[in-house]
Amino acid sequence: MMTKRRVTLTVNGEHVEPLVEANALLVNVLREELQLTGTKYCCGTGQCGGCTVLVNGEPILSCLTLAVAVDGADILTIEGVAKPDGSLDPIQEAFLDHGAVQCGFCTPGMILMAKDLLAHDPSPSEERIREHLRGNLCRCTGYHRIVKAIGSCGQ
Amino acid sequence: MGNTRILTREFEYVAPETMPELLALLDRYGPAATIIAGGTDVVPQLKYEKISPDYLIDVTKIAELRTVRRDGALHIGAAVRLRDVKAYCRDNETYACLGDALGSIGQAQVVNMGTLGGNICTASPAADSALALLVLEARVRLIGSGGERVVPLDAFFRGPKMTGMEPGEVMAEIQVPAVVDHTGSAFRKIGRVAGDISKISCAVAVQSDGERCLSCRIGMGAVGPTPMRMPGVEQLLSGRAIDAGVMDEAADRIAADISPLTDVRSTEFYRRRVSRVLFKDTFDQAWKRVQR
Repeated sequence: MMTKRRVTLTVNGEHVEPLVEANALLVNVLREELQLTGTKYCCGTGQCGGCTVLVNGEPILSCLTLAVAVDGADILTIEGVAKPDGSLDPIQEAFLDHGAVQCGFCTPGMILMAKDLLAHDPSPSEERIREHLRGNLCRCTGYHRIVKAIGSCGQ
Repeated sequence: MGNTRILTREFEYVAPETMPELLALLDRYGPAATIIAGGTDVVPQLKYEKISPDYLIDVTKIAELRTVRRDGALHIGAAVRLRDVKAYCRDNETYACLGDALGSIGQAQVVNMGTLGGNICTASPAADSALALLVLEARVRLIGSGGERVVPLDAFFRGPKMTGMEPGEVMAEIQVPAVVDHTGSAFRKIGRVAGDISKISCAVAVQSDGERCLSCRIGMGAVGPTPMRMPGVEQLLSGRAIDAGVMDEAADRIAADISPLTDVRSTEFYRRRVSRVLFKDTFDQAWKRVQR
C-alpha cells in the first residue's frame, strides 16, 4: 500500500489539497478527485492532446503527468476558461460561432491550446495556429473550422 | 499490454533538490529506482509495463540540472526542458540543427514537458535531438557517487535503449563545444505525419569556404541500432569542391553505409532509397546556412 500525500494545487483559481497516491495521474486527480471532467482521457499515451491542461500557464499532457510532480502548481482546466459569472471566453464564443465543435471530445484541449497561443501571439497566422495545434487530434471537424475560430480571435 | 488510463505499478516518488541527495538515493535504491524528468517517455513505459520501479526519482527539482550556461562551450543541464533549449537555439543560429530537431518534435505539450537529458537517455535510434547533438560533437557529463566523467555522445549510445551509463550514475549536463567559424548545420527527418517519430533522419554540420567543404559531420538516425555518424562520407567530402557529381557520390555512399531495418515505421528498402535525397536536402540546407 502506497502512502498517500497531500499536494497543494491552485486549480482554476481555487486552492485545493487533494490526497493522492504516488502513481496517481493528474488527469485522474482532476476528473475523479476534483470532479473536473472537462479534461478528457483519450489516448492515454501522449499522442492526441485531449488531456491538455495549462500548468503554470503552459500546456502539458495530464495523462502523462504524475500529480505529485506538480505539487504547488497553478492549473487551468477548461472549467476555468469561462468567466466566474458564466459568460464565455471569446475563444469559446468563436468556437460556437464557427461551428468548431462536433463531438466535443477534443474541444477542451483545443481551447486551452488556443488560450496558450493567443497569450503569446495575439494575432497568429493560419500557419502558426496549425503548427501550435499539431499535438491535438480531432476526428470530426477536419480542423478547418477550429483554425478559423481561433484565427477570428486575433486582433 | 498494460493500462493507459491508470498506473497499476505502485512505487514511491522522491524528488531530491540537490545532487548529493540524488546520488545518495541512487546508491540506496540501486536498480529498484528509475529516474524520471518530463515523464513523456517514462510514464508510457510504466503504462506498457516495460519498467517496474519501486522508486521513481524526479530530477526536475534540482536547480543545477535546470540551468543553461555558456563558457565557450554551451552547458545544458540534463533536466532543462526541450522548450527552453528550443528557445535558446532560436536566438543562437550557431546551433541551427538542434533547433531544427527540436522544432520537428511538433507537439507543444511534449516540448514543454520533455527534457534534453531525457531525450538522450531514452537512447532511441530515432531520437531527434540526439542526432543533432551528435554532429555538433556534444559530450555528456555523468555523475555517480564515485566521481564524474565526460563521455562523447557517439560513445554514449550502445544500442536501442542502451547507454553507457553505469548503475548509480546520472546525466548532469550536455556540453556542446563552440562551433567553428564558417559552419552551417541542419537537421531533417521523414515521418508519416508532422511531429511523428522519424522513419529516417539526417543531421549535417559543414564548414565551408564557399566552394569547398573544409570539414563536415554527418549523422543518420533510425537506420541502425543508435544514431550514427557517417565517417566514410565525412572523409569523402572533406576538402572537396561541392557540385552535383560529388553530392551524388556522397549520397550513394550514405545509402550503402547505413544499416536500416524493416519495422513498424518503415521498411529497409524505403529507408535506403530515401536516405539519398534526405541527405542531399539536409546537406544543402546546412551549406546555405554557412555564415560568411
